[in-house]
Amino acid sequence: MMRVLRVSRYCLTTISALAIAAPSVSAQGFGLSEIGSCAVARGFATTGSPCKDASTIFWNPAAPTTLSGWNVTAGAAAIAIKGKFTQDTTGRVWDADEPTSIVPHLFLTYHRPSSKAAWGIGAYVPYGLTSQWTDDFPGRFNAKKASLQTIYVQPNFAWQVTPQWSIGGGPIMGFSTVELIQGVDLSTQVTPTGATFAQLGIAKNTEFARARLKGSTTAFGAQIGVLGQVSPAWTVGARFLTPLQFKYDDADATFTQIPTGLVLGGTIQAPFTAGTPVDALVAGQFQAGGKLVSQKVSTKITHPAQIQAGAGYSGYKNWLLSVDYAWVGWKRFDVLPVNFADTTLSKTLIESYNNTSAIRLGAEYTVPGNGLKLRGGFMGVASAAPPETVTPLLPEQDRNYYTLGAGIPLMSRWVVDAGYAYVHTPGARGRIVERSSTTQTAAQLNTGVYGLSANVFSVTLKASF
Amino acid sequence: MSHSHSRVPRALAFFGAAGVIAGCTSDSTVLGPTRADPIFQSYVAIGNSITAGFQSDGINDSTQQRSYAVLLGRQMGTRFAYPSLAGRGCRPPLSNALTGARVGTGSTATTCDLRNPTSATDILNNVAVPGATSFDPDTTVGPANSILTALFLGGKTQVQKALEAQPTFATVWIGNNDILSFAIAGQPAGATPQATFVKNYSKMINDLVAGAPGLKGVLIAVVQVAGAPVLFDAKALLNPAFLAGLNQATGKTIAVDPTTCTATTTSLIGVPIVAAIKSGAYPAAIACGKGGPFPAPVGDLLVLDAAEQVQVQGIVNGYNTYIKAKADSVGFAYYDPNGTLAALKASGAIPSVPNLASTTAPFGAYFTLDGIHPSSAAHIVIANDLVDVINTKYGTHLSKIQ
Repeated sequence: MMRVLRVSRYCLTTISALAIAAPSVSAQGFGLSEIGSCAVARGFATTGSPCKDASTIFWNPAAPTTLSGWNVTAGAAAIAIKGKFTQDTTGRVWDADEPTSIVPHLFLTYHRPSSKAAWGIGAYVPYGLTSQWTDDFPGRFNAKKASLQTIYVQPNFAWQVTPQWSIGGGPIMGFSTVELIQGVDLSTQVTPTGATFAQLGIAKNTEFARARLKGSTTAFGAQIGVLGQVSPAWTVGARFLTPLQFKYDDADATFTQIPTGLVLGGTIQAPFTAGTPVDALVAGQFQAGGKLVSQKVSTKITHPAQIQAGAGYSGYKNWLLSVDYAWVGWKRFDVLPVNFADTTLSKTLIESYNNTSAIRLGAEYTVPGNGLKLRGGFMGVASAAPPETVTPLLPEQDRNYYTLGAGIPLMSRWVVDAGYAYVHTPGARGRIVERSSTTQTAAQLNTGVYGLSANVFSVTLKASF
Repeated sequence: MSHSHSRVPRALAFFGAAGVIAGCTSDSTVLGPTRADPIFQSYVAIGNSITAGFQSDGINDSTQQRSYAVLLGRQMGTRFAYPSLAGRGCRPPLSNALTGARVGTGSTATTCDLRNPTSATDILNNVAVPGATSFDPDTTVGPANSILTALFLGGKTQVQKALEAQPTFATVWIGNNDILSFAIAGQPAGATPQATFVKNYSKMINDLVAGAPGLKGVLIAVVQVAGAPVLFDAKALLNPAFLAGLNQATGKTIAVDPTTCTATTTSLIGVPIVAAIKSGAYPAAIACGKGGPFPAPVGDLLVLDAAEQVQVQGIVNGYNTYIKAKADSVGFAYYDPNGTLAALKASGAIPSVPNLASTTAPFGAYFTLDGIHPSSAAHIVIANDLVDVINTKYGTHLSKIQ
């Protein structure tokens, strides 16, 4: 069959795009902070003054020395995201087709009260995302669906250096799976004559194929922390989570032809003659010898480093107030290589992310007599992405989190923590096309406005023995 | 005040900082472009070569921008995307009526530089295709299909492309090509029969309004072809200077039948006869009616005699009667450009005889070098007429083009 197109390398954004992918709203970029319902309710300001449960393995690895006996913490957060894109030219609005994500957490610590050592292990999700758009969304050529599922497993050891100060930390093994589904635009494909299908009249955003990329891998890192009781009412603490670089060297790319139903209305030149179904012209690309056949693809995604430091004040009776500063090293997302087995499809994506800062405020009131804890918090997060990189994969923008929750004692050894967070964003102009050059500006690329909000519901069951 | 009460205000103040931080993250740069009157939020134009921007037997991005539809969209203040052609066009317009030279280096009648890829878009507002008849807007491969059908519509029909824009307003100018070539050729019997025209036109409009509930718009009447300068008064053949001009243009010595080309003849001659005689496809002879001394097709082909003119007028009137009725039935406005055309002809702005001495404006200021397609000046007149029609029908306040 005559080859009627050459698949252009810039037509496929892939796993590496997924790295920045998806509207995860629960931190900047694809970061997640829903690790323990107490932390959710306290605005995630739980490093300087950690929650009194095993989730401290993540929030401050030094803090298990403040717990007694066995402590188990298990739960999950449901993240319901609402996203939309409003196109400048038509005013039309596309709603994201987001499924609710469930993010689990599980921690176990042991500290004999007379000992300076505390042991533990935790499994948590500090990074992850899922995004999904409808079949008619014009940005589906950037991402129709993106999923990043990463879990960190962290054995932990903490040591009480002095009665006031503890240090702790542990290695991390990360497990990550990525999936990206995106449309392939026929208009950008090149015909054997050298002209693109757009030059032959095929409309932009004519989907003729759908690409699915899937892979998994592991990576290693570590986290350390320090906690200090500097006065009877003040605690301070800090943690450092190293970056983990995930190399998806053996991912699979598959392609499915999507019928366009188009029939050429006039003759341009053979084989583009009047009455010819366009789908027949490109069918050969999905068969042996064609470009759009199953193949291997590789890329790498670095989950960035995190530094969080803060303080807690308990000088007001029954009150605990906390404030943390959090820094995430997103600048490592400058460019991302995507390498197909067919090297003509390979490309490098421009992301140009920036390091970010967040302020986290939390408060907890213990109801006298029954141990019920009422919590509230706030987090303000700056966007990691520059104006040129607000995309369907991740419509990244400044975010505010308003949180509240409670800790409800059940019998003497059990507690149920519940937390709720509402995530608000101001909206951000963004693009639905790929950025092919660093000289392209946001004004040139952005063609609409992304809106994003989320409701997070978190429940944790805690037990101490 | 108790000790505990004094704690609460401080706790609230603590959270007051959150409000300050929240206020620092507003973004005042997220607004999109200003919207037009809601009725014009999405305007689409269905039509043929006039609507597409064809001028002087060709079309390129420059002429496409001058279409009345583009001008009207600008007055509406709404986004209006057209299928921009690249380079010299497809085919490039004439630059010299006498020599047949075309715009752009190396341009010929078959030159086509395809679509401009940098202006590629998914949604088009001007979906008109040159050559379209009433058969074509709702058919993927219509009888009038050409390379431009493929380049402009990308495998869809005009109606499908129009509906992709989720239109709130539409103009439809279809029907001219159902009669035009037959009238110019002096063969009006070949025009689309009235019943077929009604069937085609009705389906097109029904499909359009069904796909866009609440759609408003204007249906534009078919032009009385006899008013176009592509058909010139046969009496001009009795003018020695004009005949000499024809001889020069064709490179032949044309014989004129004195029995049919008299001072009282009312026949019209199609301008394409010049090229036909020049190429040898037509004898170097002109008769103003059948039954003259010259053998067929002289006196018949490219000659529209009095009876045939009546026939053409009747056909066009039939088309327009239906178009108006259809407009009324769907709540659209109706615009008949023939009044404006007649006034321009009566004033002499549209000459009844081409000026063969002019290579750049033989048909006056309102028609281009092919004698069929309106000039940029005429498109402004059409757009302004439409402004009046739309404002009257819908109570809007569009302003005219100065």
